[in-house]
Amino acid sequence: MVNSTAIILNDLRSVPLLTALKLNRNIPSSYLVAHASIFECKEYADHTNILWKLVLKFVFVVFFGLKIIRPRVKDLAEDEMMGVWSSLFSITEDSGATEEKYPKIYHQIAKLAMGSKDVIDYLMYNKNDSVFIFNGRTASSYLITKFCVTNNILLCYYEYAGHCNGFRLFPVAPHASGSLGELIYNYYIYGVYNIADLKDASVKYIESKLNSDFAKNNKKKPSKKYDVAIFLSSDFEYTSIDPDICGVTWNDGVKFCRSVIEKYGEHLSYAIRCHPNSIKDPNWINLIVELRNGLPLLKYEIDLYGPDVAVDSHELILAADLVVTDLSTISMDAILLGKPVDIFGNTDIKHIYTDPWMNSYSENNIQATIAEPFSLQHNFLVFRFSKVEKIVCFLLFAVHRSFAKYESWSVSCCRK
Amino acid sequence: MLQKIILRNYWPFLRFVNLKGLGGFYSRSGEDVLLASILFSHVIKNSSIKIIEINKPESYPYSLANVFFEFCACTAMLINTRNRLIFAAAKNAAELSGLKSTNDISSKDTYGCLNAYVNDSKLYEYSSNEQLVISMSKYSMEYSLVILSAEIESIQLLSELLGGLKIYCIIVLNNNSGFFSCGNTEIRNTLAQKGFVFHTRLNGNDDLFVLSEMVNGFPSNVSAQLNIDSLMRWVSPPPDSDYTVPK
Repeated sequence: MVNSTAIILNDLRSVPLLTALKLNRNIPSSYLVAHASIFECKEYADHTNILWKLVLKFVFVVFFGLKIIRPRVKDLAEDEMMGVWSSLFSITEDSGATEEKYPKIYHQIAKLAMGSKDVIDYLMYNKNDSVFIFNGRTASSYLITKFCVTNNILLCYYEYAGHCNGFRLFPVAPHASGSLGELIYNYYIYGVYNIADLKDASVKYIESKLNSDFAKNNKKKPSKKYDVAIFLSSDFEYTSIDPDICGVTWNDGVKFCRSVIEKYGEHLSYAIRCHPNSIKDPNWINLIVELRNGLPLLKYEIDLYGPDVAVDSHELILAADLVVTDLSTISMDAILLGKPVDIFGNTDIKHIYTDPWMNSYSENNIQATIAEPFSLQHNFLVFRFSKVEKIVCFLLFAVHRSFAKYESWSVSCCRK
Repeated sequence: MLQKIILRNYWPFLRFVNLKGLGGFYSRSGEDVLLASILFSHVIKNSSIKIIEINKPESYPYSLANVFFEFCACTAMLINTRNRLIFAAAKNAAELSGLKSTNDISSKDTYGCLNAYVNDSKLYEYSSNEQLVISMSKYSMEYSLVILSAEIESIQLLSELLGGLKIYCIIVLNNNSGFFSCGNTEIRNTLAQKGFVFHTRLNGNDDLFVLSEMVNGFPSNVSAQLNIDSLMRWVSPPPDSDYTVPK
């Protein structure tokens, strides 16, 4: 059992704020700690005004004993930049984002990353047994996560819990990794839930997967049939993930496609489908060029469907004998459509799809049951708020949302 | 009503169920109906479940494990702490190593297990709780359900079982002492420290505890390490029964 727990406040949105408070109230010998930079700089999805942040800072310091760490560290080494890139790519949705391209955002999140180094010094001084942190992948949290994982400090990630009025606690990194798949799988096997609720949730889950916005908006049929359809993930979402933390390795499109072709041979026909979400990425044209140049000349041509091509991914799946993915959740769509899937990445879907018990339980018709464990996600790792906390959360959310609306309004005014 | 208000004050998501009017399969107040209903999803995915029953109360004509014999391949370890006897009841042989087998099953009514006498069910003697836990852990490390009444000997044995075995669900019968028959809070707090969620209060009398990983998937060993027992109060199935993934 742990003796002292640090709860890192590294996000000032409603749910992380309330979660940090709730954890602090419920965990003996725990304390709240934040770096000063959190109240000065903007992190991913943070639209709040600096005055509001100062109010929050005052309230937390005076009433909840928040410890504020002053800035000391002034630089970051090359190997400490992953959190910065992760936040930068997520905020800008640009996999080619650089310091020069987005100097203002870059400098803010670099400050946050330097702040996380100060927090590490504080944790080392205090010799904490366990740490709670929000997300764990952003500029303000990545280095702390890395420090805890490297030093075997018990680490728990707190996160949003969708619309269920609470928060989630992840004992492993909150990425769709094999470790998370194992937890979902255990919940499915050993859990207590109503079978009717499960079946109902499963139907809704399948409907939402097969009628996603991507499926609705892309209706073009593929031109021919293929032996293998390769589906790529969107680069800006996955480029900065640390395999030591989440057990998932990101392979860029070229590397991934090469390994698929090496595995299945050059004599087959291939379709490569870029993630339609990549259309948001200003760098997508460069990625396509890289992909075209990086792939070997094959006996048959490779058909490359870029994010701008409105080809129906489900039709493409049905037109292929085999679907191959790395980290993309399209693998679930392919399984639901009854196609054999080879998942290269260590994802939660792979963990459950390849599990011998799951296959024998579904009598080798995994298409029928694969959705069930994932249908339980609404309650997965969820801890709930009290009625009062829900009201406070709603009010904080309203404040945050009004700042977000004001920001988007002022941006549109500036453009005009 | 007062009991409900008092208990809900601390366990806001506690479910109150009254099955006295309905009755049960082998019980008079519906205890086995509740267990079968709550554990159904668990049982259908775990073909051979193991149950431990400590000191069946005399007011109960049959073991609450009986119903599980009816619809699944269950093994029940029915323990009598007063006589230091364990009755290993199973449709197939349940051998407990390291314990002395005895033929004296004259007290079979003590166990109230109807189906236990099929095939090779056996009665064993044990000398100490430690010896019992070691022997049971050799048989299996995982037990789906422990049934016990709220008396000191049973609770002592339960705490030793929890130290050596993985237990998914616990029902404490007749936990109705104290203020407005609200029951003993100590056992609830102790079980919360082990990662159990106080799931249901049955007939204002019995407490049902379920491991957190069965309710929301959070591993109980991590919750015990993290010392987050008071957060167990905030774990619950979706109040609206909706498990759908939010868009």
